Amino acid sequence: MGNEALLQLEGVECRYADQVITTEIHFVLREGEIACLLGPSGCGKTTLLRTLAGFAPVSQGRIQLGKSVIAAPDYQCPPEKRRIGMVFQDYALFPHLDVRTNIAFGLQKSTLNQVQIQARVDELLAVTGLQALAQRYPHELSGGQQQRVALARALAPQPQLILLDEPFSNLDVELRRHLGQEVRSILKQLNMSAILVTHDQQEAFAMADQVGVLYQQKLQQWDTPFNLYHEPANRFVATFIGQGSFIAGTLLSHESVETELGVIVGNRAYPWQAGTCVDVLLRPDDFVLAPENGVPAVIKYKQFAGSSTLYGLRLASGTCLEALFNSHAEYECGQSIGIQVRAEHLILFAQEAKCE
Amino acid sequence: MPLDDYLYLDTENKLYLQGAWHTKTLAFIETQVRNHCHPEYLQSVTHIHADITHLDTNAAYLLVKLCRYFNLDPEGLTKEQQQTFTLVTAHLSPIPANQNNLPWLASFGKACLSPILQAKAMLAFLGEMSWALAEQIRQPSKIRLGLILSVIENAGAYAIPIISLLSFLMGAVIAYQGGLQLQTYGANIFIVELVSLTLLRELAPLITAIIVAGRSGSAFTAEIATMSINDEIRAMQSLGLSPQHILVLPKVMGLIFVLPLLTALADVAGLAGGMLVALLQLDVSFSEFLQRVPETVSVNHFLVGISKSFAFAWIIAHVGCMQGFYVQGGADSVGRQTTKSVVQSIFLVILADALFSILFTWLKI
Repeated sequence: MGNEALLQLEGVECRYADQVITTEIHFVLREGEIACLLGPSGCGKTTLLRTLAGFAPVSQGRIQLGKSVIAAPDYQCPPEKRRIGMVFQDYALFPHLDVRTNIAFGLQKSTLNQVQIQARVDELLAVTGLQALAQRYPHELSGGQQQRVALARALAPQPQLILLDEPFSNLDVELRRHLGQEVRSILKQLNMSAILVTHDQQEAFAMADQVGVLYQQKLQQWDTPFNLYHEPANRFVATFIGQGSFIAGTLLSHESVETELGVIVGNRAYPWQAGTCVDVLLRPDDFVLAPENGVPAVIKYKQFAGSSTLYGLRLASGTCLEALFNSHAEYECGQSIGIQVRAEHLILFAQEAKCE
Repeated sequence: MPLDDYLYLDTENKLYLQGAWHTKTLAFIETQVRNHCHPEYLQSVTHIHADITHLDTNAAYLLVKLCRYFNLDPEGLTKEQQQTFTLVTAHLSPIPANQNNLPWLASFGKACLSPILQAKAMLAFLGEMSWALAEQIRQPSKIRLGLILSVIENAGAYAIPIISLLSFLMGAVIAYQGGLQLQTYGANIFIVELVSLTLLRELAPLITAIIVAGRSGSAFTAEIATMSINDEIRAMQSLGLSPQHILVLPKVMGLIFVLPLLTALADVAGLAGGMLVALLQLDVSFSEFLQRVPETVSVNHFLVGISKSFAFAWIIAHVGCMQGFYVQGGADSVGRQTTKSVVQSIFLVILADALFSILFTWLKI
């Protein structure tokens, strides 16, 4: 993995007609890293991407690519001079050009000769596995193939960074997963840095080294997928990433908390005093079945998902939880089972309201 | 008094709602509601009284629409139903404000402002274009000859038949109409000056520019607007290519090259038309006509016409490309933008022609 900082955003704010779309965006992307901006629709992630590409101005802060500042409130480097490639949501292929000419479009005839251009196009066709389709026109290709042509075209001029705007949103789920892996391996193979935008966290986790969660105009957390899931920075990230339920508890020491499911001991210490009321985030996979000494819980609903089954449970106190168990053991709705918590990552949030 | 299962109108013009209003019954309710949302009831309904057993969000949506239609609030909802109703109202998109409902002074001001804004945009685009042109002149290797040639072919070569035909007819019409007047004075031979002066100086450059604006200016706008909507222009930029260099300059250069040629062609075709009518109607033979043209019409008139066509070419390419880039929204605006482009370029061409007349009179050419 590269170590040089390639792209730096410092307090970037984007506006659209006096309306703040995103604000106080800070992050650093290192060379060769793939990052993903994740957030519910309308959170400003596409606007941020367009600002990076140079199609929208920044109203505050600055963007630095390599050693040079490319955008600041009083300066905007034109998109064609940024060396940032972009793959558009609808691919924006040139419809009257075949695949080969589409890919060659960005290669300047003034700096490369015909042989070099053809060699570069052949190389990209090979990397993206499109050799057989080189003579086809965009309308003769499937969505996944068009996606790869768009990627190859964006890669052709050897940009420093590549941006992908909801790259797989037009594809079916199966293809999406497959192509996500494929795109990731192509980018890694070329040691290309990339930022993609998506609202699908599966996609984000599968593709990215770093994920930024955007919500309410702000970057809530910029971290690895593992940390986002296991160490969310705030409640929004905790609920937005993966499933989970909160149960109330009281802190016994800095790293153990008493709840109605017993004392939970975690791997992280919290600075709050003993006796503080907290909410504990429990992921569905933090629960194990304990028929003898577990806390009784009634099954309210269940969702079969192949290798495992998600159960909606209700404790005696009325608290509702979601738990994931191996689907070998089959339980029925209304049945009472014993559960225990086995959480390796203890995630606590201070309770907003006072506990009774 | 119409009587239905779910709503009825009583004699005091109160609309009573009854029964279970939920998704299952929605289809029935909707037909009945539609019967009541008739303009003839619009004035007469004074109250909406709800005495219903169920209300879910789907039905509440219908109820909200019904209430908005009559501009009334429902009465008699239970607390829960009222909550559902408020929730749905809160999440419904607001009634779009009527844009055309500006006071007359404001709309007058807006109308006055729009040409100023257009002029400002044109000036900005002119700046961008000139800058790109300067860049291109510094690096002649970046000139896209292929693209220029394709403009010359499409805007020039393919326009030859229509321009020749129309100028021929134009020449013939002028000769015919003018000839009728000249004949009464027996001044038949002056048809030569009449036809060649009007054509060379004014009509040939103008008619050519107007046809090219309609044929190619609109095509430029449509092409750029479509590309803009499909994000192709942004794709181009992100590939490190300037749209000015790829899309605008080749069109400007191609048109500046080809429009004077087309004007010359229109001169020739127009004269041919005039000559034919002169022969048939006024007994001026071809040889007399052709001999008299260089004798009486100075070459300046021809050059004036040609020099104007350079400016017209710039205007057409400028407006055509600019309107393409200023497209907003979806595919439907391509057509609107194209219309705007044609109207604007023809207007500007005629305006420029008038200014040229003043200029040339002043210069005594």
